[in-house]
Amino acid sequence: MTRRSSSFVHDRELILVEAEVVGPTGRTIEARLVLDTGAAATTLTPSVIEKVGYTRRDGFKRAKVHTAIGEEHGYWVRVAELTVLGVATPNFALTVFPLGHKDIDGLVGMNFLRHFNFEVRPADRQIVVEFLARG
Amino acid sequence: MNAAEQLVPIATEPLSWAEICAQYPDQFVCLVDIAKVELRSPEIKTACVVGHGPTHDAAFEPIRGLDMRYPRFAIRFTGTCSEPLIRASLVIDDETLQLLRS
Repeated sequence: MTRRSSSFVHDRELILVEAEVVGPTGRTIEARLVLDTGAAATTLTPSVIEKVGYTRRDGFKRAKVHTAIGEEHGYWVRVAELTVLGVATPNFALTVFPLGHKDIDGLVGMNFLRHFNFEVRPADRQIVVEFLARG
Repeated sequence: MNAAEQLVPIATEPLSWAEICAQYPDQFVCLVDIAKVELRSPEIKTACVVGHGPTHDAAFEPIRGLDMRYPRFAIRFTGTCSEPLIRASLVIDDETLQLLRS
């Protein structure tokens, strides 16, 4: 078993972690995502996803969310690779929606986080990820 | 100098995040050659600024077509955003559920 720790920052009590999003040509944007165990799906904003070369035409499925002010339509797209907390996942499916916030590029949700164990240590500002050996 | 060279944006020297915020207040900055405070940290120690402006798109514009020269970058806002994060609930149908479990 391997354990790896990553630091995070607190911003208005949100936990922000570093992510790398790789586009179809290999171009990579470093993004700041909210660690959100209450989100089923990982989300990036249209601004971020478009900078690495994806457009709505690359979406393979429409997505819909309910917000406090109504419905919002976005889409699902597979990015060439998403890396968060040192875990790189190729061909990763995520949703694209605006989040209305200048400091935040997206959310890392449970469709990414459920693949490993992790421990949030708020006082240490560390997240420890545990990789299980696969036999 | 040929036309292509003239279009290449000029990057600043490496600046600390505090210096970037002071020189480009309340705007978006496009950063390259980013050094982090520590490995996998979202905190920036130093970076070079290659674009800036009032929007995410404006900051990115100088390097938009320069994938080979700037294959890796970040766009950050130097001010403080007081807007609340939109909390949304994804509508999950059977197909979406399969996708989430894949």
